Amino acid sequence: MPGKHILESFDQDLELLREEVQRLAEQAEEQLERALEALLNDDRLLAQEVVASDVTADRLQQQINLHMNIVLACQQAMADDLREILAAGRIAAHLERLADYAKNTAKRTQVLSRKVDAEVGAQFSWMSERVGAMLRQVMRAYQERDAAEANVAWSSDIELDRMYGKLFAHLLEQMQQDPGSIRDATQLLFIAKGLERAGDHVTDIAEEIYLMVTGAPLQGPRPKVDNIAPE
Amino acid sequence: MSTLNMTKTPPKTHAMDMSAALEREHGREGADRAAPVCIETKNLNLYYGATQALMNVSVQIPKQRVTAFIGPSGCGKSTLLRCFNRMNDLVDNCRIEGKVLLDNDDIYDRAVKVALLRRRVGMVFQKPNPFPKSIFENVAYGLRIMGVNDKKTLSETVEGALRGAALWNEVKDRLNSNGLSLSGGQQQRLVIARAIALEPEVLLLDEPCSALDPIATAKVEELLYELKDRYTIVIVTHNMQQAARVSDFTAFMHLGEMVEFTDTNTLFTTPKMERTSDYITGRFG
Repeated sequence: MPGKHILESFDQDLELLREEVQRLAEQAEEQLERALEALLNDDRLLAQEVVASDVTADRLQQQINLHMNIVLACQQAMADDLREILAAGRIAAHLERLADYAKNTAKRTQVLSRKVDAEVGAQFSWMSERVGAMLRQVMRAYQERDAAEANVAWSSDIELDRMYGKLFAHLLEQMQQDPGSIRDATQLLFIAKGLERAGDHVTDIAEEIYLMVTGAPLQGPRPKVDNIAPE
Repeated sequence: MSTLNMTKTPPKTHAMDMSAALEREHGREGADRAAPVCIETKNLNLYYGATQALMNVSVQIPKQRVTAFIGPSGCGKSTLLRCFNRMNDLVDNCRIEGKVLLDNDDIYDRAVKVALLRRRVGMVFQKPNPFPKSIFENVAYGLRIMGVNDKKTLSETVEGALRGAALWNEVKDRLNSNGLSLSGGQQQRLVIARAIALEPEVLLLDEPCSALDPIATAKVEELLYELKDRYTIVIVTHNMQQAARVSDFTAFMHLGEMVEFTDTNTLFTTPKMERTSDYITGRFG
């Protein structure tokens, strides 16, 4: 960790930004968990609450942007400080998108005709937990300015891609066998895609953290499974 | 002029910055070294009596670029600047070792005429120092002591220098007014006009804006952009934002050492040395 600034208020500003980003990450993770809980339990009331509480993440992001502008204007940051402030804004944008996927999941949950079956539910549950674990890992890397940890998280999205491929294939087969399931299965496909995209946003956050810490972008193609033509 | 639109020399695209960062990651220098060298120091040591003020400084100042020296008070940046036109010769007990080359010629060679050297290497100081003469005579002063008295030549040169210093429009109707009647910012530009009237190769500026308000500072900074096409400019500044705004290259000095010298974009975004990073981010104790 870099040492303290001569100007204590600058350290306080940066700490506040870090706390706000962490709070947004926790809000996004909680929203994703609650959205999945609503989906798996067919809990419409909870789904409504998730949709309604998306505004919290939006406001947190706005607050981060506002504070970022103030710190940039007042502290005239340089080098790693500048990268940290800019990273806070970009990470916040990714986190807000994660919360959006939770909201989208909750909205789709409300139009399903019945509770998802156990097999599909387990796959969704796995994906959701995986996104949560990746998010916690990148946020640890963020708080500890750990580029190596960010790099590990960046590479781990491939498992999520694989599960998405399986779920995609499963839902496709279900639709072929039972055309009556198409309406629900289409909604589930979008929810699955949302979780897969959530994983992509988490890897983007990992890239931001790596750049923030080292000053250089992560190199090379990220390990990825082709979701258009899943295995 | 927008900072984002201001083209530093050479124009730096995002891709160029990126490749500089990557080169640095691989342990290579990221700075643009394409510009020919104007001033070079080789293993320069300077002593004020028993006190060593410069420690083995080797640096290459690119031609027709703006190079900024930054660092805490007493780090040697003004001392180094004053080596470039031998102003330190005027300091008692000042002794130097090593070389200072201007266009590959050793400026401390015995054959060098210091007055001629200072004509090639002009200097502007922290506090504007116009002579108690008219605006016209301030600018014409250098030419007159060189023996130029032709009225037309003097008029043309004075106008050219004042235009070059972005002051002509403000003073053209009162060239006979005393130079000391101008505002601080105008006085500093008058002094710059006086320096460029002699068509030097190099302009040394020692904290030229520290006594100026933000508007006057902006005018001087804008002027530096316009002048660098014709002159090699070296500026000492305590204002890091100013260094970041106006210079193509920046040198960070500490305790008489040249800690880091690289292109300005790199130095202020991804400095290589921890001491540089600590200083520019305000962590320097």
